[in-house]
Amino acid sequence: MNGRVPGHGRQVMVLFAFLILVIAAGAASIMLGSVAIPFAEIESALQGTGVGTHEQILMNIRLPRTLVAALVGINLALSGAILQAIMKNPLADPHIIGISSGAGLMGILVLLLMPEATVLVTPAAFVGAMGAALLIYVLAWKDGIRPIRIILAGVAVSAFLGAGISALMILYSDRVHSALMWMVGGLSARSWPHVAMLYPYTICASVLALLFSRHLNILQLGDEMAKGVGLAVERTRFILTAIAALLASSAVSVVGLLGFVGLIVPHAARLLIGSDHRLLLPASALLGAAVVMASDTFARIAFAPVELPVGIIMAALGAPFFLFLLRREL
Amino acid sequence: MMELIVKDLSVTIAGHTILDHLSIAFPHGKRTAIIGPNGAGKSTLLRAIAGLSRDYEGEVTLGGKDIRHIGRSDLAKRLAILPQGAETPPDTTVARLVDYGRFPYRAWFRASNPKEDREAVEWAMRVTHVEAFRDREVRTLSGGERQRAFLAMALAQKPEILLLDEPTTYLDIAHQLEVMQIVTDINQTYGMTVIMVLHDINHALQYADEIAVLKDHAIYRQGAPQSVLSVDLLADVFGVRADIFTNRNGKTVLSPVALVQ
Repeated sequence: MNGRVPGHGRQVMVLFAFLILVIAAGAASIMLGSVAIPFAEIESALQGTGVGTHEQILMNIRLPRTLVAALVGINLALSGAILQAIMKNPLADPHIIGISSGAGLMGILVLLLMPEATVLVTPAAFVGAMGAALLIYVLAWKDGIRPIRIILAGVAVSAFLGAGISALMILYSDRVHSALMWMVGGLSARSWPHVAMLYPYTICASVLALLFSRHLNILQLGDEMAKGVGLAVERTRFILTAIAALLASSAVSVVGLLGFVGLIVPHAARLLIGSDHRLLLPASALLGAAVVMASDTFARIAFAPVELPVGIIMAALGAPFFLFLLRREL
Repeated sequence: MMELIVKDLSVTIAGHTILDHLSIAFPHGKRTAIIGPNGAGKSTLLRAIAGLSRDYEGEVTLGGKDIRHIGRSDLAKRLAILPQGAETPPDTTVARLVDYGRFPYRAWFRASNPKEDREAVEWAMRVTHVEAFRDREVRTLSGGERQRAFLAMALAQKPEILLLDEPTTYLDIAHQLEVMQIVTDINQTYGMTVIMVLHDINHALQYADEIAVLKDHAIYRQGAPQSVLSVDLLADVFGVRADIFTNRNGKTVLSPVALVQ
């Protein structure tokens, strides 16, 4: 960052800008789509005085989908920010602790073997994600946890589960479409039950993550120094890994394997606001929500009536933007 | 009075004996230097005392209590360590780093006593002479300035005992003396007990009240520098033949001449 430290004024401005982004992306996501809904009708619908199909679309399709997008963005971005901090590795993301491969395998298992039971996809994927995360943590344990061992155990377990995913896709290649949609992640047909599934994790984990933000700062000094100033390093790392795993599992079990948010959004936020986690965590959460909502809106309207999965849009637009940030700020 | 006592400390790492039934008591309010050849277990001893490693037999007691039974943050209020090879994220300023030393005094998100925290941080920066670059990023500092910034962080913990692991490594002569002088001032002004691993025996002679010599995984000699350090000891412990002088400060200085054949 050219040797300068972002001042408080700049940090507040960045947070404020992210908040504006969230509001703008949320409004666009509610108003835009195959049927454009004027602002006045949104107001009356939210007050419960609206009538007709627009209100139906708004309350049963648009609003829950927008909320799912925001919650998924928050959960994945927070999870990534936490994992990058506790692993002290810029490549750490929910994928590293097995969330994606675990959720992927279980989700695809249901989609391919029991295509009529799609209602089971979300719980099965959640169990798979948490199971894989736990397996990796246990495999990496040897007189405590070293980040490098988690990362390597994660690579191995993900490769193993990935083999299962590939085998299933080839064995059931006639039904592979639904599995492919799940693999790239998408928000179509996500509604109130999904909101209900996500928001408890978002609220609890956001509060916990903020309480631990100073602990995350201390961890950046290295294990020795962190212990020296009184941090219970092993316990902190375990609790925070569990929080990150819950956040990411809840998100991927609802929308599939969205790859981009958990890895890139925390980096983008860090480039703009610095590495103090008391600000970085809220900034990542806001930016995550804005990015997913905006990408989903774009995915709906860009090639209408065909709707692209949000994961494709996010990576295609987000990666170049991130590279631009990287060139400018580092 | 907080007595720090090591009793029958044994450490083995991957089948190798590092420390073997080592016992030592550190005098309160004094500067003790731990010296010894490479591989004698100096850093291992310091890490055990600091509570960084708890994988040992025997015990380390502080005021009569096994430090493994003292909570990490309680321990950090009484005992601070400046380890080797400290790191910081790129945008960490000196003031923020020193403020991290107040971590054990804070509960969760909010400070319990912000005024006391602020005063401790200001005091720590003043005695280590880092106030002038409080807003600089730690990574842009020179080696000596950086070492003083980390020292300030340890002091902000307001410990009774300060542990230093080879604090002058990689520093030029002037910065070595500066760090040792700061440590001496803190010891003499505030009565803080200092325990430091030093590889430069002349530093130990000049800046320590007491020297503990490690050899063969245990304490070989302990006592006042002049009484402990001798031509024979240097030959026995380090395998070096040395001349010993007295400098103009009246301190003993040694000059290695050759290896003992």
